[in-house]
Amino acid sequence: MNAAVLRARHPWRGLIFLGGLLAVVWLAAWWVEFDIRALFGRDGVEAFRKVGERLWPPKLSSEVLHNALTGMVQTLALSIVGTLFGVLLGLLLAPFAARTVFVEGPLVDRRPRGRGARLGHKAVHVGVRLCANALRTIPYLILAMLFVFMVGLGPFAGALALALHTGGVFGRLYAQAIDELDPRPLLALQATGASRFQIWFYGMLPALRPALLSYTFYRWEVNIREAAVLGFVGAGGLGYHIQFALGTFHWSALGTYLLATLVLVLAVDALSARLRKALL
Amino acid sequence: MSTRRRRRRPSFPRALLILAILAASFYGTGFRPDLLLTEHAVGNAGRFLRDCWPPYLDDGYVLRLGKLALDTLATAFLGTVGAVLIGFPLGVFGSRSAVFGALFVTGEARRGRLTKLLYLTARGISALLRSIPELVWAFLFVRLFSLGPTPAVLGIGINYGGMLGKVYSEQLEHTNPTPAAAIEATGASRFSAFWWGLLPQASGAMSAYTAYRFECAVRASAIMGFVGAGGIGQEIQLSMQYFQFDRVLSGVLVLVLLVALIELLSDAVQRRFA
Repeated sequence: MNAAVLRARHPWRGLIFLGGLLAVVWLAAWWVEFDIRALFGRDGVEAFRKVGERLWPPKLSSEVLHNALTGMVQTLALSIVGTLFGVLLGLLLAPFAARTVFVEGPLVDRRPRGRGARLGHKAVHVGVRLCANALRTIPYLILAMLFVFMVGLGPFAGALALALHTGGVFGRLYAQAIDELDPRPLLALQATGASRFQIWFYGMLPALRPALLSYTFYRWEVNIREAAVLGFVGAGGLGYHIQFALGTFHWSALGTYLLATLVLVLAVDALSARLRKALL
Repeated sequence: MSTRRRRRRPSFPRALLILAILAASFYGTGFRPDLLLTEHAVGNAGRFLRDCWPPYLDDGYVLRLGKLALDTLATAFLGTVGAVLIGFPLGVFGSRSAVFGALFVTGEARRGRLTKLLYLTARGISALLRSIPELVWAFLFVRLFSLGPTPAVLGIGINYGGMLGKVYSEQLEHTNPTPAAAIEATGASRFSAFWWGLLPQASGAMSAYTAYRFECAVRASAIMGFVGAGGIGQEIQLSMQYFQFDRVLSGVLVLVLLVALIELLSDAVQRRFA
Protein backbone atom coordinates (compact mmCIF):
# COMPACT_ATOMS: atom_id res chain seq x y z
CA MET A 1 0.00 0.00 0.00
CA ASN A 2 2.91 2.20 0.81
CA ALA A 3 4.24 1.53 -2.65
CA ALA A 4 0.98 2.62 -4.25
CA VAL A 5 1.08 5.95 -2.43
CA LEU A 6 4.66 6.54 -3.50
CA ARG A 7 3.88 5.66 -7.07
CA ALA A 8 1.13 8.23 -7.12
CA ARG A 9 3.59 10.84 -5.89
CA HIS A 10 6.32 10.19 -8.44
CA PRO A 11 4.87 9.30 -11.80
CA TRP A 12 8.27 8.45 -13.32
CA ARG A 13 9.41 6.25 -10.48
CA GLY A 14 8.21 2.99 -12.01
CA LEU A 15 9.73 3.76 -15.39
CA ILE A 16 13.09 4.73 -13.94
CA PHE A 17 13.13 1.55 -11.85
CA LEU A 18 12.25 -0.56 -14.87
CA GLY A 19 14.90 1.12 -17.01
CA GLY A 20 17.56 0.54 -14.35
CA LEU A 21 16.53 -3.07 -13.99
CA LEU A 22 16.71 -3.66 -17.74
CA ALA A 23 20.15 -2.07 -17.85
CA VAL A 24 21.42 -4.37 -15.10
CA VAL A 25 19.86 -7.41 -16.81
CA TRP A 26 21.57 -6.44 -20.05
CA LEU A 27 24.88 -5.94 -18.26
CA ALA A 28 24.62 -9.31 -16.50
CA ALA A 29 23.64 -11.08 -19.73
CA TRP A 30 26.58 -9.49 -21.53
CA TRP A 31 28.97 -10.45 -18.72
CA VAL A 32 28.09 -14.16 -18.70
CA GLU A 33 27.42 -14.26 -22.47
CA PHE A 34 23.90 -15.49 -21.84
CA ASP A 35 22.55 -16.92 -25.05
CA ILE A 36 18.81 -16.33 -25.24
CA ARG A 37 18.71 -17.58 -28.83
CA ALA A 38 19.82 -21.02 -27.69
CA LEU A 39 16.56 -21.11 -25.82
CA PHE A 40 13.97 -19.58 -28.12
CA GLY A 41 15.64 -20.11 -31.50
CA ARG A 42 14.80 -23.08 -33.68
CA ASP A 43 17.56 -25.20 -32.13
CA GLY A 44 16.26 -24.52 -28.64
CA VAL A 45 12.72 -25.57 -29.41
CA GLU A 46 14.01 -28.60 -31.26
CA ALA A 47 16.16 -29.59 -28.27
CA PHE A 48 13.22 -29.32 -25.90
CA ARG A 49 11.06 -31.44 -28.20
CA LYS A 50 13.74 -34.08 -28.52
CA VAL A 51 14.29 -34.32 -24.81
CA GLY A 52 10.58 -34.65 -24.18
CA GLU A 53 10.42 -37.48 -26.68
CA ARG A 54 13.39 -39.24 -25.13
CA LEU A 55 12.26 -38.93 -21.53
CA TRP A 56 8.79 -40.26 -22.24
CA PRO A 57 7.83 -43.04 -21.77
CA PRO A 58 10.06 -43.65 -18.74
CA LYS A 59 11.93 -46.92 -18.71
CA LEU A 60 10.37 -49.46 -16.37
CA SER A 61 12.84 -52.33 -16.44
CA SER A 62 13.33 -54.10 -13.14
CA GLU A 63 16.83 -52.69 -12.75
CA VAL A 64 15.76 -49.11 -13.26
CA LEU A 65 12.76 -49.52 -10.98
CA HIS A 66 14.96 -51.04 -8.30
CA ASN A 67 17.40 -48.12 -8.58
CA ALA A 68 14.58 -45.60 -8.45
CA LEU A 69 12.98 -47.19 -5.40
CA THR A 70 16.17 -47.62 -3.38
CA GLY A 71 17.19 -44.13 -4.45
CA MET A 72 13.92 -42.70 -3.19
CA VAL A 73 14.20 -44.47 0.16
CA GLN A 74 17.80 -43.38 0.57
CA THR A 75 17.02 -39.78 -0.36
CA LEU A 76 14.16 -39.70 2.13
CA ALA A 77 16.38 -41.22 4.82
CA LEU A 78 19.09 -38.65 4.07
CA SER A 79 16.65 -35.78 4.40
CA ILE A 80 15.29 -37.10 7.71
CA VAL A 81 18.70 -37.78 9.27
CA GLY A 82 20.07 -34.47 7.99
CA THR A 83 17.13 -32.51 9.38
CA LEU A 84 17.15 -34.35 12.73
CA PHE A 85 20.85 -33.74 13.33
CA GLY A 86 20.44 -30.22 12.05
CA VAL A 87 17.81 -29.59 14.73
CA LEU A 88 20.06 -31.00 17.44
CA LEU A 89 23.09 -29.02 16.26
CA GLY A 90 20.96 -25.90 15.84
CA LEU A 91 19.58 -26.20 19.37
CA LEU A 92 23.12 -26.59 20.61
CA LEU A 93 24.46 -23.55 18.72
CA ALA A 94 21.49 -21.19 19.01
CA PRO A 95 21.71 -20.24 22.72
CA PHE A 96 25.33 -19.23 22.26
CA ALA A 97 24.63 -17.41 19.01
CA ALA A 98 21.67 -15.47 20.42
CA ARG A 99 22.42 -12.06 21.89
CA THR A 100 19.63 -12.18 24.45
CA VAL A 101 20.89 -15.37 26.03
CA PHE A 102 24.56 -14.84 26.15
CA VAL A 103 25.30 -11.15 25.93
CA GLU A 104 22.33 -9.30 27.39
CA GLY A 105 18.92 -10.02 28.86
CA PRO A 106 17.54 -12.07 31.75
CA LEU A 107 19.49 -15.20 30.96
CA VAL A 108 22.86 -13.58 31.39
CA ASP A 109 24.70 -14.52 34.52
CA ARG A 110 24.36 -11.53 36.86
CA ARG A 111 27.09 -12.48 39.25
CA PRO A 112 29.91 -9.96 39.27
CA ARG A 113 32.65 -11.12 36.98
CA GLY A 114 36.02 -9.88 35.91
CA ARG A 115 36.69 -8.22 32.60
CA GLY A 116 38.38 -11.35 31.34
CA ALA A 117 35.32 -13.51 31.92
CA ARG A 118 33.10 -11.00 30.14
CA LEU A 119 35.44 -10.91 27.19
CA GLY A 120 35.55 -14.70 27.16
CA HIS A 121 31.75 -14.79 27.04
CA LYS A 122 31.72 -12.40 24.15
CA ALA A 123 34.40 -14.42 22.36
CA VAL A 124 32.34 -17.62 22.65
CA HIS A 125 29.29 -15.78 21.31
CA VAL A 126 31.16 -14.39 18.32
CA GLY A 127 32.96 -17.68 17.70
CA VAL A 128 29.76 -19.75 17.65
CA ARG A 129 28.10 -17.21 15.39
CA LEU A 130 31.00 -17.35 12.95
CA CYS A 131 30.96 -21.13 13.03
CA ALA A 132 27.21 -21.33 12.33
CA ASN A 133 27.56 -18.80 9.52
CA ALA A 134 30.43 -20.72 7.96
CA LEU A 135 28.49 -24.00 8.01
CA ARG A 136 25.51 -22.20 6.50
CA THR A 137 27.39 -20.43 3.73
CA ILE A 138 29.70 -23.21 2.55
CA PRO A 139 27.65 -25.00 -0.11
CA TYR A 140 26.46 -28.41 1.03
CA LEU A 141 27.95 -30.09 -2.04
CA ILE A 142 31.40 -28.88 -1.07
CA LEU A 143 30.88 -30.20 2.47
CA ALA A 144 29.72 -33.47 0.92
CA MET A 145 32.87 -33.67 -1.20
CA LEU A 146 34.97 -33.12 1.91
CA PHE A 147 33.18 -35.91 3.75
CA VAL A 148 33.48 -38.21 0.75
CA PHE A 149 37.21 -37.52 0.94
CA MET A 150 37.10 -38.47 4.63
CA VAL A 151 34.74 -41.45 4.92
CA GLY A 152 34.50 -42.57 1.32
CA LEU A 153 31.67 -42.66 -1.22
CA GLY A 154 28.16 -43.37 0.00
CA PRO A 155 25.21 -41.86 1.81
CA PHE A 156 26.96 -41.51 5.16
CA ALA A 157 29.07 -38.67 3.74
CA GLY A 158 25.91 -37.03 2.43
CA ALA A 159 24.15 -37.37 5.78
CA LEU A 160 27.07 -35.69 7.55
CA ALA A 161 27.19 -32.84 5.04
CA LEU A 162 23.46 -32.26 5.20
CA ALA A 163 23.46 -32.40 9.01
CA LEU A 164 26.26 -29.85 9.36
CA HIS A 165 24.81 -27.50 6.77
CA THR A 166 21.31 -27.70 8.28
CA GLY A 167 22.79 -27.23 11.75
CA GLY A 168 24.38 -23.97 10.62
CA VAL A 169 21.13 -22.76 9.10
CA PHE A 170 19.12 -23.67 12.21
CA GLY A 171 21.74 -22.14 14.49
CA ARG A 172 21.15 -18.79 12.84
CA LEU A 173 17.37 -19.10 12.46
CA TYR A 174 16.81 -20.31 16.02
CA ALA A 175 19.09 -17.59 17.40
CA GLN A 176 17.08 -15.01 15.47
CA ALA A 177 13.86 -16.46 16.89
CA ILE A 178 15.30 -16.25 20.41
CA ASP A 179 16.37 -12.65 19.89
CA GLU A 180 12.90 -11.70 18.66
CA LEU A 181 11.16 -13.12 21.74
CA ASP A 182 9.12 -10.74 23.86
CA PRO A 183 11.40 -10.17 26.89
CA ARG A 184 8.58 -9.19 29.30
CA PRO A 185 7.41 -12.70 30.28
CA LEU A 186 11.03 -13.67 30.81
CA LEU A 187 11.64 -10.67 33.04
CA ALA A 188 8.46 -11.52 34.94
CA LEU A 189 9.76 -15.04 35.47
CA GLN A 190 13.04 -13.63 36.64
CA ALA A 191 11.24 -11.36 39.09
CA THR A 192 9.58 -14.41 40.68
CA GLY A 193 13.03 -15.76 41.38
CA ALA A 194 13.25 -18.34 38.62
CA SER A 195 16.70 -19.70 37.91
CA ARG A 196 18.31 -19.14 34.54
CA PHE A 197 17.62 -22.73 33.58
CA GLN A 198 13.95 -22.33 34.57
CA ILE A 199 13.68 -19.16 32.48
CA TRP A 200 15.15 -21.02 29.50
CA PHE A 201 13.01 -24.11 29.95
CA TYR A 202 9.66 -22.63 31.00
CA GLY A 203 9.87 -19.15 29.53
CA MET A 204 11.80 -19.41 26.28
CA LEU A 205 11.31 -22.89 24.87
CA PRO A 206 7.48 -22.85 24.93
CA ALA A 207 7.42 -19.42 23.30
CA LEU A 208 9.87 -20.63 20.65
CA ARG A 209 7.96 -23.80 19.83
CA PRO A 210 5.91 -22.49 16.86
CA ALA A 211 8.90 -20.81 15.23
CA LEU A 212 11.15 -23.84 15.76
CA LEU A 213 8.57 -26.22 14.33
CA SER A 214 7.79 -24.15 11.27
CA TYR A 215 11.50 -23.58 10.51
CA THR A 216 12.14 -27.29 10.91
CA PHE A 217 9.43 -28.36 8.49
CA TYR A 218 10.35 -25.65 6.02
CA ARG A 219 13.92 -26.88 6.07
CA TRP A 220 12.86 -30.49 5.64
CA GLU A 221 11.29 -29.45 2.33
CA VAL A 222 14.57 -27.82 1.33
CA ASN A 223 16.59 -30.81 2.50
CA ILE A 224 14.67 -33.36 0.46
CA ARG A 225 15.69 -31.35 -2.63
CA GLU A 226 19.29 -31.08 -1.48
CA ALA A 227 19.36 -34.80 -0.65
CA ALA A 228 18.21 -35.52 -4.20
CA VAL A 229 21.38 -33.95 -5.65
CA LEU A 230 23.93 -35.14 -3.08
CA GLY A 231 24.53 -38.11 -5.37
CA PHE A 232 26.15 -35.75 -7.90
CA VAL A 233 29.31 -35.92 -5.78
CA GLY A 234 28.83 -39.58 -4.88
CA ALA A 235 27.14 -38.99 -1.53
CA GLY A 236 24.11 -41.23 -2.00
CA GLY A 237 20.46 -40.89 -2.98
CA LEU A 238 18.63 -40.43 -6.26
CA GLY A 239 21.17 -37.93 -7.52
CA TYR A 240 23.66 -40.68 -8.22
CA HIS A 241 21.30 -42.42 -10.63
CA ILE A 242 20.24 -39.14 -12.22
CA GLN A 243 23.84 -38.18 -12.83
CA PHE A 244 24.75 -41.60 -14.17
CA ALA A 245 21.79 -41.69 -16.55
CA LEU A 246 22.53 -38.17 -17.80
CA GLY A 247 26.22 -38.86 -18.14
CA THR A 248 25.65 -41.99 -20.20
CA PHE A 249 22.68 -40.62 -22.17
CA HIS A 250 20.20 -43.16 -20.80
CA TRP A 251 17.29 -40.81 -21.41
CA SER A 252 14.37 -43.13 -20.71
CA ALA A 253 15.91 -44.30 -17.43
CA LEU A 254 16.46 -40.63 -16.60
CA GLY A 255 12.74 -40.11 -17.14
CA THR A 256 12.01 -42.69 -14.45
CA TYR A 257 14.45 -41.12 -12.00
CA LEU A 258 13.08 -37.63 -12.60
CA LEU A 259 9.58 -38.94 -12.04
CA ALA A 260 10.73 -40.60 -8.82
CA THR A 261 12.25 -37.29 -7.64
CA LEU A 262 9.05 -35.46 -8.50
CA VAL A 263 6.87 -37.93 -6.60
CA LEU A 264 9.15 -37.96 -3.58
CA VAL A 265 9.47 -34.19 -3.31
CA LEU A 266 5.75 -33.61 -3.79
CA ALA A 267 4.98 -36.27 -1.17
CA VAL A 268 7.35 -34.68 1.35
CA ASP A 269 5.93 -31.21 0.65
CA ALA A 270 2.40 -32.50 1.25
CA LEU A 271 3.35 -34.46 4.36
CA SER A 272 5.26 -31.51 5.78
CA ALA A 273 2.29 -29.20 5.21
CA ARG A 274 -0.04 -31.64 6.98
CA LEU A 275 2.29 -32.18 9.93
CA ARG A 276 2.80 -28.45 10.28
CA LYS A 277 -0.94 -27.90 10.37
CA ALA A 278 -1.43 -30.71 12.91
CA LEU A 279 1.34 -29.54 15.23
CA LEU A 280 0.98 -25.77 15.11
CA MET B 1 -4.93 -26.02 28.49
CA SER B 2 -3.95 -29.26 30.18
CA THR B 3 -6.39 -31.36 28.12
CA ARG B 4 -5.09 -29.80 24.94
CA ARG B 5 -1.57 -30.59 25.88
CA ARG B 6 -2.44 -34.17 26.75
CA ARG B 7 -4.10 -34.68 23.41
CA ARG B 8 -1.04 -33.35 21.61
CA ARG B 9 1.38 -35.73 23.26
CA PRO B 10 2.04 -38.62 20.86
CA SER B 11 0.46 -41.91 21.86
CA PHE B 12 2.65 -44.94 22.47
CA PRO B 13 2.13 -46.57 19.03
CA ARG B 14 2.76 -43.25 17.34
CA ALA B 15 5.98 -42.72 19.29
CA LEU B 16 7.02 -46.24 18.29
CA LEU B 17 6.29 -45.45 14.65
CA ILE B 18 8.39 -42.28 14.79
CA LEU B 19 11.25 -44.20 16.39
CA ALA B 20 10.98 -46.89 13.73
CA ILE B 21 11.12 -44.29 10.95
CA LEU B 22 14.18 -42.66 12.50
CA ALA B 23 15.90 -46.02 12.97
CA ALA B 24 15.15 -46.97 9.37
CA SER B 25 16.52 -43.61 8.21
CA PHE B 26 19.75 -44.12 10.09
CA TYR B 27 20.04 -47.59 8.65
CA GLY B 28 19.21 -46.31 5.17
CA THR B 29 22.01 -43.74 5.21
CA GLY B 30 24.55 -46.25 6.50
CA PHE B 31 25.07 -44.08 9.54
CA ARG B 32 28.33 -45.25 11.10
CA PRO B 33 30.00 -42.60 13.24
CA ASP B 34 32.90 -44.99 13.82
CA LEU B 35 33.85 -44.39 10.17
CA LEU B 36 34.83 -40.88 11.18
CA LEU B 37 37.51 -42.24 13.49
CA THR B 38 39.25 -44.67 11.17
CA GLU B 39 42.86 -44.05 10.33
CA HIS B 40 41.88 -43.19 6.77
CA ALA B 41 39.29 -40.60 7.83
CA VAL B 42 41.46 -38.95 10.47
CA GLY B 43 44.44 -38.98 8.13
CA ASN B 44 42.50 -37.37 5.29
CA ALA B 45 40.96 -34.77 7.58
CA GLY B 46 44.42 -33.96 8.89
CA ARG B 47 45.76 -33.70 5.37
CA PHE B 48 42.97 -31.32 4.40
CA LEU B 49 43.53 -29.10 7.43
CA ARG B 50 47.30 -29.10 6.94
CA ASP B 51 47.15 -28.33 3.24
CA CYS B 52 44.36 -25.76 3.21
CA TRP B 53 46.30 -23.22 5.27
CA PRO B 54 47.41 -20.69 4.17
CA PRO B 55 44.85 -20.11 1.43
CA TYR B 56 46.32 -19.68 -2.04
CA LEU B 57 46.22 -15.93 -2.59
CA ASP B 58 48.37 -15.39 -5.66
CA ASP B 59 47.36 -12.10 -7.33
CA GLY B 60 46.31 -13.68 -10.59
CA TYR B 61 44.34 -16.37 -8.83
CA VAL B 62 42.44 -13.91 -6.65
CA LEU B 63 41.60 -11.91 -9.75
CA ARG B 64 40.34 -15.06 -11.42
CA LEU B 65 38.21 -15.93 -8.38
CA GLY B 66 36.80 -12.41 -8.41
CA LYS B 67 35.78 -12.79 -12.04
CA LEU B 68 34.17 -16.17 -11.28
CA ALA B 69 32.34 -14.65 -8.30
CA LEU B 70 30.93 -11.98 -10.62
CA ASP B 71 29.87 -14.76 -13.03
CA THR B 72 28.09 -16.46 -10.16
CA LEU B 73 26.39 -13.24 -9.13
CA ALA B 74 25.30 -12.37 -12.68
CA THR B 75 23.98 -15.90 -13.19
CA ALA B 76 21.97 -15.71 -9.97
CA PHE B 77 20.58 -12.33 -10.96
CA LEU B 78 19.52 -13.45 -14.43
CA GLY B 79 18.05 -16.61 -12.93
CA THR B 80 16.02 -14.59 -10.45
CA VAL B 81 14.76 -12.29 -13.20
CA GLY B 82 13.70 -15.35 -15.18
CA ALA B 83 12.07 -16.79 -12.07
CA VAL B 84 10.01 -13.63 -11.60
CA LEU B 85 8.96 -13.72 -15.27
CA ILE B 86 7.83 -17.33 -14.82
CA GLY B 87 6.57 -17.07 -11.26
CA PHE B 88 4.46 -13.93 -11.58
CA PRO B 89 1.91 -15.32 -14.07
CA LEU B 90 1.92 -18.65 -12.24
CA GLY B 91 1.26 -16.86 -8.96
CA VAL B 92 -1.50 -14.68 -10.37
CA PHE B 93 -3.31 -17.52 -12.12
CA GLY B 94 -2.67 -19.85 -9.19
CA SER B 95 -4.30 -17.63 -6.58
CA ARG B 96 -7.99 -17.89 -5.82
CA SER B 97 -8.28 -14.22 -5.06
CA ALA B 98 -7.10 -13.22 -8.55
CA VAL B 99 -8.65 -16.00 -10.61
CA PHE B 100 -11.90 -16.42 -8.70
CA GLY B 101 -11.99 -12.78 -7.64
CA ALA B 102 -10.62 -9.67 -9.17
CA LEU B 103 -9.36 -10.94 -12.48
CA PHE B 104 -12.01 -13.27 -13.87
CA VAL B 105 -15.05 -13.78 -11.70
CA THR B 106 -16.51 -11.28 -9.30
CA GLY B 107 -19.39 -11.10 -6.93
CA GLU B 108 -21.62 -14.10 -6.74
CA ALA B 109 -20.87 -15.26 -10.27
CA ARG B 110 -20.29 -19.01 -10.49
CA ARG B 111 -16.83 -20.33 -11.08
CA GLY B 112 -16.44 -21.06 -14.75
CA ARG B 113 -14.93 -24.33 -15.77
CA LEU B 114 -12.28 -22.60 -17.83
CA THR B 115 -11.11 -20.35 -15.01
CA LYS B 116 -10.90 -23.38 -12.75
CA LEU B 117 -8.82 -25.19 -15.36
CA LEU B 118 -6.54 -22.17 -15.61
CA TYR B 119 -6.13 -22.13 -11.84
CA LEU B 120 -5.33 -25.84 -11.62
CA THR B 121 -2.92 -25.68 -14.56
CA ALA B 122 -0.98 -22.83 -12.96
CA ARG B 123 -0.79 -24.70 -9.66
CA GLY B 124 0.29 -27.91 -11.39
CA ILE B 125 3.01 -26.26 -13.44
CA SER B 126 4.41 -24.46 -10.44
CA ALA B 127 4.48 -27.72 -8.43
CA LEU B 128 6.25 -29.49 -11.30
CA LEU B 129 8.86 -26.75 -11.72
CA ARG B 130 9.73 -26.45 -8.05
CA SER B 131 9.90 -30.20 -7.35
CA ILE B 132 12.90 -30.94 -9.57
CA PRO B 133 15.97 -29.35 -7.92
CA GLU B 134 17.66 -26.49 -9.78
CA LEU B 135 20.87 -28.48 -10.12
CA VAL B 136 19.05 -31.30 -11.91
CA TRP B 137 17.39 -28.82 -14.28
CA ALA B 138 20.77 -27.23 -14.95
CA PHE B 139 22.39 -30.59 -15.64
CA LEU B 140 19.61 -31.41 -18.08
CA PHE B 141 20.21 -28.11 -19.89
CA VAL B 142 23.96 -28.66 -19.91
CA ARG B 143 23.26 -31.83 -21.87
CA LEU B 144 20.74 -30.01 -24.08
CA PHE B 145 22.59 -26.84 -24.96
CA SER B 146 26.12 -26.31 -23.82
CA LEU B 147 28.40 -25.91 -20.88
CA GLY B 148 28.50 -22.48 -19.31
CA PRO B 149 26.15 -20.17 -17.48
CA THR B 150 23.10 -20.40 -19.77
CA PRO B 151 21.97 -23.76 -18.30
CA ALA B 152 22.54 -22.42 -14.79
CA VAL B 153 20.33 -19.40 -15.49
CA LEU B 154 17.62 -21.66 -16.87
CA GLY B 155 17.86 -24.09 -13.95
CA ILE B 156 17.49 -21.34 -11.37
CA GLY B 157 14.81 -19.55 -13.38
CA ILE B 158 12.66 -22.65 -13.78
CA ASN B 159 12.99 -24.08 -10.27
CA TYR B 160 12.65 -20.70 -8.53
CA GLY B 161 9.86 -19.72 -10.91
CA GLY B 162 7.85 -22.59 -9.47
CA MET B 163 8.68 -21.56 -5.91
CA LEU B 164 7.85 -17.91 -6.53
CA GLY B 165 4.61 -18.99 -8.21
CA LYS B 166 3.54 -20.83 -5.08
CA VAL B 167 4.52 -18.11 -2.64
CA TYR B 168 3.16 -15.24 -4.79
CA SER B 169 -0.18 -17.02 -5.01
CA GLU B 170 -0.32 -17.41 -1.23
CA GLN B 171 0.60 -13.77 -0.76
CA LEU B 172 -2.06 -12.68 -3.24
CA GLU B 173 -4.61 -14.77 -1.38
CA HIS B 174 -3.79 -13.01 1.87
CA THR B 175 -5.37 -9.81 0.62
CA ASN B 176 -8.57 -7.99 1.24
CA PRO B 177 -10.94 -8.34 -1.75
CA THR B 178 -12.96 -5.19 -1.08
CA PRO B 179 -10.65 -2.58 -2.70
CA ALA B 180 -10.67 -4.50 -5.97
CA ALA B 181 -14.45 -4.85 -5.87
CA ALA B 182 -14.80 -1.13 -5.11
CA ILE B 183 -12.59 -0.20 -8.06
CA GLU B 184 -14.58 -2.46 -10.33
CA ALA B 185 -17.82 -0.94 -9.09
CA THR B 186 -16.64 2.42 -10.46
CA GLY B 187 -16.71 0.84 -13.92
CA ALA B 188 -12.99 0.08 -14.20
CA SER B 189 -11.87 -3.02 -16.05
CA ARG B 190 -11.14 -6.28 -14.25
CA PHE B 191 -7.48 -5.82 -15.01
CA SER B 192 -7.40 -2.37 -13.37
CA ALA B 193 -9.26 -3.79 -10.39
CA PHE B 194 -6.55 -6.43 -10.04
CA TRP B 195 -3.64 -4.12 -10.79
CA TRP B 196 -4.67 -1.23 -8.53
CA GLY B 197 -6.88 -3.00 -5.99
CA LEU B 198 -5.27 -6.36 -5.31
CA LEU B 199 -1.63 -6.27 -6.36
CA PRO B 200 -0.51 -3.28 -4.24
CA GLN B 201 -1.67 -5.12 -1.12
CA ALA B 202 0.73 -7.99 -1.81
CA SER B 203 3.56 -6.24 -3.66
CA GLY B 204 5.58 -5.50 -0.51
CA ALA B 205 5.58 -9.09 0.67
CA MET B 206 6.25 -10.29 -2.88
CA SER B 207 9.28 -8.00 -3.23
CA ALA B 208 10.65 -9.09 0.14
CA TYR B 209 10.32 -12.77 -0.78
CA THR B 210 11.92 -12.16 -4.16
CA ALA B 211 14.89 -10.54 -2.42
CA TYR B 212 15.18 -13.60 -0.18
CA ARG B 213 15.06 -15.85 -3.24
CA PHE B 214 17.82 -13.85 -4.90
CA GLU B 215 19.96 -14.59 -1.86
CA CYS B 216 19.18 -18.31 -2.28
CA ALA B 217 19.91 -18.04 -5.99
CA VAL B 218 23.44 -16.81 -5.29
CA ARG B 219 24.00 -19.89 -3.14
CA ALA B 220 22.48 -22.16 -5.81
CA SER B 221 24.48 -20.47 -8.55
CA ALA B 222 27.66 -21.12 -6.57
CA ILE B 223 27.24 -24.89 -6.89
CA MET B 224 26.21 -24.88 -10.55
CA GLY B 225 29.81 -25.61 -11.46
CA PHE B 226 29.33 -29.14 -10.17
CA VAL B 227 27.38 -29.97 -13.33
CA GLY B 228 29.63 -27.94 -15.60
CA ALA B 229 27.53 -24.80 -15.57
CA GLY B 230 30.36 -22.44 -14.67
CA GLY B 231 30.86 -20.00 -11.84
CA ILE B 232 33.00 -20.20 -8.76
CA GLY B 233 31.69 -23.67 -7.85
CA GLN B 234 33.45 -25.20 -10.82
CA GLU B 235 36.79 -23.81 -9.71
CA ILE B 236 36.29 -25.09 -6.14
CA GLN B 237 35.24 -28.50 -7.37
CA LEU B 238 38.24 -28.80 -9.69
CA SER B 239 40.66 -27.77 -6.92
CA MET B 240 38.99 -30.35 -4.70
CA GLN B 241 39.49 -33.06 -7.30
CA TYR B 242 43.16 -32.19 -7.66
CA PHE B 243 43.54 -32.10 -3.86
CA GLN B 244 44.65 -28.44 -4.01
CA PHE B 245 43.06 -27.64 -0.69
CA ASP B 246 44.66 -24.20 -0.36
CA ARG B 247 42.80 -23.21 -3.53
CA VAL B 248 39.61 -24.76 -2.16
CA LEU B 249 39.91 -22.56 0.89
CA SER B 250 40.49 -19.36 -1.10
CA GLY B 251 37.50 -20.21 -3.32
CA VAL B 252 35.31 -20.85 -0.30
CA LEU B 253 36.48 -17.60 1.32
CA VAL B 254 35.61 -15.56 -1.76
CA LEU B 255 32.25 -17.32 -1.93
CA VAL B 256 31.48 -16.70 1.74
CA LEU B 257 32.33 -13.04 1.25
CA LEU B 258 30.01 -12.80 -1.75
CA VAL B 259 27.13 -14.53 0.03
CA ALA B 260 27.55 -12.36 3.12
CA LEU B 261 27.44 -9.22 0.97
CA ILE B 262 24.28 -10.35 -0.83
CA GLU B 263 22.67 -11.28 2.48
CA LEU B 264 23.24 -7.77 3.80
CA LEU B 265 21.67 -6.35 0.65
CA SER B 266 18.75 -8.77 0.72
CA ASP B 267 18.12 -8.14 4.43
CA ALA B 268 17.98 -4.42 3.75
CA VAL B 269 15.44 -4.93 0.94
CA GLN B 270 13.38 -7.28 3.09
CA ARG B 271 13.32 -4.82 5.99
CA ARG B 272 12.31 -2.04 3.62
CA PHE B 273 9.28 -3.99 2.38
CA ALA B 274 8.36 -5.97 5.49
